[in-house]
Amino acid sequence: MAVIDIHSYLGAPPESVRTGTLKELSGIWRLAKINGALVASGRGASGDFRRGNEAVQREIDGRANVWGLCTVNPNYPGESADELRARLSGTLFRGLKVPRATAGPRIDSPGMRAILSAARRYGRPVLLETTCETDVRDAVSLAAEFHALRFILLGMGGPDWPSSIGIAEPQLNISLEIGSLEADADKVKDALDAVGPRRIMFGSHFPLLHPLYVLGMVEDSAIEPRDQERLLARNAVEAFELEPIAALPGTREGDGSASE
Amino acid sequence: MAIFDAHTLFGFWPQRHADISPETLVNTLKAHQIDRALTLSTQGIFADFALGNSETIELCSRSNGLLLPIGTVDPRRFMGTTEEIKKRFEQGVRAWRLCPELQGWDLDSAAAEAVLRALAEAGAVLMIDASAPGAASRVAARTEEFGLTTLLLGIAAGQLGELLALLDRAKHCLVETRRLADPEVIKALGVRFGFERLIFGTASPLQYVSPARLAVETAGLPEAQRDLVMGGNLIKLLAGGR
Repeated sequence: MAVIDIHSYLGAPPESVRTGTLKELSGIWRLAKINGALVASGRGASGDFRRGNEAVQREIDGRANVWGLCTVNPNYPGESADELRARLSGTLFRGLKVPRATAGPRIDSPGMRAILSAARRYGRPVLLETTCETDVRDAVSLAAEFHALRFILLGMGGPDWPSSIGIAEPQLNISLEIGSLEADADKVKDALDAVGPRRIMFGSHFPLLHPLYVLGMVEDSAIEPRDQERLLARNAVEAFELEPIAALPGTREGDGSASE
Repeated sequence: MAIFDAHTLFGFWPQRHADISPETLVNTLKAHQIDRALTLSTQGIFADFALGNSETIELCSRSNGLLLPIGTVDPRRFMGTTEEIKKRFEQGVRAWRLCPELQGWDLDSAAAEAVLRALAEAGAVLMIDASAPGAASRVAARTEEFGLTTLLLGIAAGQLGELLALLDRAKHCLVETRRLADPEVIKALGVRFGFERLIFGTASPLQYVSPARLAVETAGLPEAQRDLVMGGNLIKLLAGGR
């Protein structure tokens, strides 16, 4: 069964002991049998997002089955809009990502609204890191206002997932991504039952988590194979308009090498 | 390879809707071919520790060797805690879980100190949550003075820096692998500090088994080291050895 990882980091975040190189990621994708991946900058999540995006673009250009996520920072709405213009005008980057670490005390902020206004012209999915129920409520409010955009809630509220999935359910332009440290039994099945099989996706968050950790949750959740196929790949392919080819992710297009 | 899960529970979970009945616990263990497990009644965490310990021992006694008991006491009540530890230890309870993260008491309180001392004097193995930043260091410092063997629960890969700084000097501490999540982190910890300090646990049936299990099984460990982590260390620990 094909697997698309919608969120991992290129360039490890500061708290990780991993290197986060494309070579390391390629090894992990091979181990976990992942067919395609969207990557965001690890350093850009807590530091300079522009440098982070630049590094991602440099690393993934010409690589098979790897696409970028443009990191933005609501404290820098103008610069974020510039980044959207630079990255999302082409096809290398397929979405924008708002890290929780730099989103401020509330996700629903003037800076965020300015970024979302700018994002409307590109029509790419917006990935919001959500670590609590309040984040999810804010995301629902934003998604109602910016109804032409698709929002994907990374981590689906973290430890507050039981209430968060119900809060997200009525907002049809919101999808849920299941990866978080919370490996609570029933989480995947409950989320799928709440929002349906077309609004749920898989992300590894490597190296903060590991693909096998999140895939283990899917394995234990005993969901229907057709729903599993949607969760693991099809929904991502549709939302990000991906065209995966028969090659390991991260290999240089044409020669199969993942080395620098 | 015999698998021994250090961390399971059963009863009622008030914080979210979850089926953690004894039947679900047993079925989950069997479905994942887990040979033995330590377990604890949540009655002992959320209501009455003496009653919970009785429930735990009763379930274990009719499990045909599948389940072994974890005892617990609640320092908020304090009255009867040291007597409970002594009584249950005589009934064969070697592993003890304290739950400040769920009960809201402080590890530095006089009541907690008395409980930790009683557990150390009994020769118990303490299991305690250390998932918050800095918690592992604090638990290690608090238990070191009593020489209390301590299994740190819930540590995530993001706390690796704290572990690297801590485990060389905190020889009395072991680490549950459940939330380490990354096979490479498990391997690195084992190589650096010894695989005898890593213990497999799942918190099932409240949590999924496979995320915890896959992380150990795909770490590329030699069979002997993997067997230690998946159960050998726990057997030795409960027998009083390290």
